[in-house]
Amino acid sequence: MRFLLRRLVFYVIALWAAITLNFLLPRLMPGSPLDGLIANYGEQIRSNPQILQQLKASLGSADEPIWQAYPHYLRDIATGDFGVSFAKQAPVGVIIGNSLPWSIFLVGVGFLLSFVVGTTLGMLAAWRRGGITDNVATPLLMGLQSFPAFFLSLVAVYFLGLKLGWFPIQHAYSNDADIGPNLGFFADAIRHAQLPVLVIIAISAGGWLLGMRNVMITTIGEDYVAFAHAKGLSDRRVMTQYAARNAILPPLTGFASFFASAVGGLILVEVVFSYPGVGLTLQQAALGHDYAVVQALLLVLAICVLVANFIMDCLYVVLDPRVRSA
Amino acid sequence: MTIGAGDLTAGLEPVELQPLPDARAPRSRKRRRIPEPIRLLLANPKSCFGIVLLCVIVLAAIAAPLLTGHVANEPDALPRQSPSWEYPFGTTDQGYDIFAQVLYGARVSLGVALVASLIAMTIAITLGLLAAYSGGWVDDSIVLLTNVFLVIPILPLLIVISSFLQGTGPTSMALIIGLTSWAIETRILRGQALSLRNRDFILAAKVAGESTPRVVFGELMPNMLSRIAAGFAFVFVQAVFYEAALEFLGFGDANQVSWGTTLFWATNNSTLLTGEWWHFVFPGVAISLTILAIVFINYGIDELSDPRLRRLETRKRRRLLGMLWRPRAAT
Repeated sequence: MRFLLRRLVFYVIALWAAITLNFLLPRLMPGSPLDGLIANYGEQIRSNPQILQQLKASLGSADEPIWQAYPHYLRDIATGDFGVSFAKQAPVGVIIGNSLPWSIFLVGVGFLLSFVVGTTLGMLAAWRRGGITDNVATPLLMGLQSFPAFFLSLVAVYFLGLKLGWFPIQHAYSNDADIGPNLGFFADAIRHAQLPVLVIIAISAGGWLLGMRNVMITTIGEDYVAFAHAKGLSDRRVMTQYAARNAILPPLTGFASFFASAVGGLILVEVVFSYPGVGLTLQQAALGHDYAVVQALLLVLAICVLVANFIMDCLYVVLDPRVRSA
Repeated sequence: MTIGAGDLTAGLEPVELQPLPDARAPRSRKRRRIPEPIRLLLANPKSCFGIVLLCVIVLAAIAAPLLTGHVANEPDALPRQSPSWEYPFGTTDQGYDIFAQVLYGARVSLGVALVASLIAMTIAITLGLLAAYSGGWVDDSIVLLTNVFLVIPILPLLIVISSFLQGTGPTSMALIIGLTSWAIETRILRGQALSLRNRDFILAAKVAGESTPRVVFGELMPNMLSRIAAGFAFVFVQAVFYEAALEFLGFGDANQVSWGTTLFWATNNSTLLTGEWWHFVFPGVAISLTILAIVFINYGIDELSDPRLRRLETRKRRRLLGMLWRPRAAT
């Protein structure tokens, strides 16, 4: 419990840092983001003075000094008031609500599968070092990992989607789909998620495999594994319950930085597949200088990473009894 | 109480170690010039492959004018040509030669990544070593800052910064990538510096009255060079990826020829749907090969520093390897 509490305090600090970074970024930039915005959306802004007021609050202006603007900004965030999007003419909260579930779906399925595939293969590769799994899966996944996410997505879209026609190549559901909680729609959504999920597995399973393999090679040499063998336990039991059970902990601690960089991969995959998640929305808002959306999405992504990390911490407590007693 | 190393050797005469006779002494006279770590890396097949591949890519970028008669940023070719002898990588729908774009684009892509990783490593070395050496509140605050940066997703952050900057060029891109991707290496270097901090030579330097920067950069840093080199390779890979990703997403200068912008135009002009696979495959392969080369070098570094990761040399494998790669011991 002490462990989780300490982590929780850290996440609160990290959240505060992310919010503050979000607040400072537009104010630190050379030139004024506000001017760029007025150049792009002059008509809309002039016709609605209230929007200009709100923009000044979030982007910074000469009227309001920083020590007044900062508490103001914090209050807006705390009340969930992220402003209004220009490009889409909708509250930012609604835009997030429409895109976040798709991303969570894609990431949830993609990363769960890549974790399972990666650690299982890593376990087998270490157990039979130089065997078939080690000679095929290790170089294959390590090779795939050196393809950047966007390139792998493009290749998958072109060859598997377009040429072979095995998968739909874009969007999260068909244009004529009956949107709602019915079986047909779920089946359609799953069909559209297959290729993006495959790409996510291809780019991220290699990290788990290598982490698991390298740690497990060390644990296999430990005395307790030799002891388990000596007791006459089956190979399979020694591998999963003794060697792998202990080897899985160090790769899990590397999850934090792994997940943060994986969010980058998610954005690229979403953009290539025109998947209507947070990544695609962020790219389009950033290209269109729709700053209210951009700032809110950066915050949302940071919060998602923090929440994912906290879930991992909880899992760690379950898996490692030493943390519980400390 | 534990017995220190000093107690054990206290009563012993210092033994002069004779250098072992080197069987290959006459052969390796010429090799002496190559520094030890690089020679080790070249002896490891994996890192040797990586080094050769990287050298080929860098040389191709430098010698671009010799390799192609076309210009990268002018449409001087027929549009929509599939790969041929005249246009080895084909041409774009606007009539740009993709071979020229990949060659010249390498200069920008690799240059940006190089500057960015230099910036990031400078920050990482300074913060990591300072934290480990100083301890106390300096250490605590640097660790906190590093951990916060580790959980903030970098690509979204880069996208947001580029959006605020209203148009980025190679210089600003190198700067923002360098300033955002130092956290992982800071953590790793701090960890390693911590294990060196209480060694005798550091204590000796401290007792001799050396200033903190002198101890950190004159004593501590030279002993971590191998880890710093590995870290540099790692950050360089990240930087190549982020640069290409930002440009691919449309946040670079679209008129500047680089691997990322060629890919950006490939998707933007929907060449995918018209079947012009060469437009995105070749720049993508160039990026992947660069990353692959460095991954292989890092693989070699890992194996050199951790012998447990080395492959089991079965007899069969050795025979197979011998056909491709004659080990020096066997000759």
